Amino acid sequence: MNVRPFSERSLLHALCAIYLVAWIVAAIDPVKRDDWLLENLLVFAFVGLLVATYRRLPLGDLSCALLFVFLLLHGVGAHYAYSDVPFGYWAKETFGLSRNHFDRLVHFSFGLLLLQPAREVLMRVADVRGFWSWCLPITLVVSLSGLFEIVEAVVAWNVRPELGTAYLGTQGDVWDAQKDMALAVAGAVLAILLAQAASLWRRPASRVPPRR
Amino acid sequence: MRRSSCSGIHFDRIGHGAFGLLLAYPLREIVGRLSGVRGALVYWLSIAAVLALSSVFEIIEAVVAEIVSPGAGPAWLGAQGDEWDAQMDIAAALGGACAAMLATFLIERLTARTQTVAPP
Repeated sequence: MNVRPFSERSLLHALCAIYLVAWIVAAIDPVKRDDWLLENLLVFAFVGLLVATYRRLPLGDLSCALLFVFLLLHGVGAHYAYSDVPFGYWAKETFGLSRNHFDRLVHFSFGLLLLQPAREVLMRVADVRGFWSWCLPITLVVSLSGLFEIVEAVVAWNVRPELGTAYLGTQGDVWDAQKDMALAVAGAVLAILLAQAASLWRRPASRVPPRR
Repeated sequence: MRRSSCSGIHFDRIGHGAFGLLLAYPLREIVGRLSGVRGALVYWLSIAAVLALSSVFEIIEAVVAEIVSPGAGPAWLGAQGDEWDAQMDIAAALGGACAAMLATFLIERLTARTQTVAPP
């Protein structure tokens, strides 16, 4: 896969600029400053990794766009400490939900939006093909979701016990970890189905011979 | 490590640890022989596979728990009242998988060295 040099990638310029502005806006007066910082430690690590590996492994436009959407959603969540996101309250009121479900939306998005970047990295680094180009990315995404739940729990126990539940965002749900992970799995499966549908859509002639 | 609720040692956690310890090596063989991935990435993907399977198991366990005893939550037998049961189980599997992969890596390194030092 050929990726154009950074100077020619206007889409990537736009995504970076929009994200930077959104990040700064979210950094101004977040609902809970401590929680915002804790959530952003992951952003610093992840964006740092993307920047550090850009020379050796620049991701394509689709992967970058998906990561952009995910980072934007997480930025909104971090600003509102997840349990106070207005959209979540709106959904709670409108659909009669028991809690602010914005964090669940982001867990689902994690699976949906990170599968393609994970697949691109594995296909380019390890040259995986066919079945394994789907099996290994979903494994990676689901494992990261499980790892995140462990990290979340360790943070909740140690860093700030009083901030724990706010950061963890369980909001009193006993099956919180399982539901979070199940949504990541569902998102990743949907991403695979969408990618398969898109590839069928792009080259229907090779599958269905033309009638005329 | 402070935990809000700790009700002693759970035997099932040893099982989860053993799952990681004993399944990482077979998974490494599957990934290494079938997927075409080579080198250090095989070790990492084997650990990821254990983590993913362990996470999926916890999801299934929660679904079964809701069917068997609806509304009881983690008070049911499998979780033994531990609200962090899922995280601890997955962490145990992760620990087991890391230990297995580290041991495999070291053994392969050592055998490779002895082979280069003393060729037949």
